[in-house]
Amino acid sequence: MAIPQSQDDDARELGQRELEELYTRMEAPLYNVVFRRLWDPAEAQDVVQEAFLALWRARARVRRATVEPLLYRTALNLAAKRRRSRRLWRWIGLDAIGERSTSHPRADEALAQGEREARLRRAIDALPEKLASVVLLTELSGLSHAEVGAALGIPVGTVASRRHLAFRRLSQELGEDP
Amino acid sequence: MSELFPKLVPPPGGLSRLQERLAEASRPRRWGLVLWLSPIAAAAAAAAWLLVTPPPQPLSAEQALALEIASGVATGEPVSTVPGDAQPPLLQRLPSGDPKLILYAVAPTADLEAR
Repeated sequence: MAIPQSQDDDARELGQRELEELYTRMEAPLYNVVFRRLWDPAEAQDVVQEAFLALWRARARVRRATVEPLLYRTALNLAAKRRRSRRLWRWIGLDAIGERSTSHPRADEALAQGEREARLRRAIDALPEKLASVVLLTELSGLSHAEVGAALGIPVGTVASRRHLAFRRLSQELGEDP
Repeated sequence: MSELFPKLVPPPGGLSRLQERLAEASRPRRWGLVLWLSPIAAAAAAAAWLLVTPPPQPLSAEQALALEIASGVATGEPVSTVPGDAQPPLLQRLPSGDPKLILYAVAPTADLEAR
């Protein structure tokens, strides 16, 4: 998934056109990962854009070789921050975000409102953050296990073991064979 | 288990919205600039004031004496040179910090002419 490049490419600052091309290419996979953390289409798209804005602000220091893992890590961190914020608001009783429906038609069509999807959502939400991040990145990002490890700052072996554990828990929650 | 994660299509208009947000981020934030610059401007103004304003100079001996005389006029003691003169005296003996020094203040010319 990494962009082929030379040493000179890496030294050059990321331009706006390049960023837009990157967005066109990566919006969907990033959105798919972030959506499974937030379950809200508008918010998921907003987080994807915030990750790109963060990349833009840091464009002078960004290395092209690691830009994709960096984007996933940034987006997952932003999503985790929003989840924490939601929990806080829900705890103090000022928001019912947890019950918010995923009203965007395309997302709703894809995730039909069946019992199985609802269980899947509960199962993913029940996973610890580190297991959920691994399973979502390995399934939806198109990154290799090594790149997922780079994105999350963990060794490749840990990626494999966490993925295995995550799928086992998901299977148990869904009552299916792994 | 990949069927657990069907590929979703993001809401439309993402790229144009990102372009708007990038343009917004590139626009100079005037208030931000003002907030950044105000402490620097205040420090520069204070430094300029210190450089331009001369430090207070110590008084010379003459200036100190003049100041002492001026402040003593209000508390001076009238001295009459003509015994039995009914008119207000034209001389005042002023207080002096030095016992060897006696200071007198003479009335203004207008008072002399009035006599």
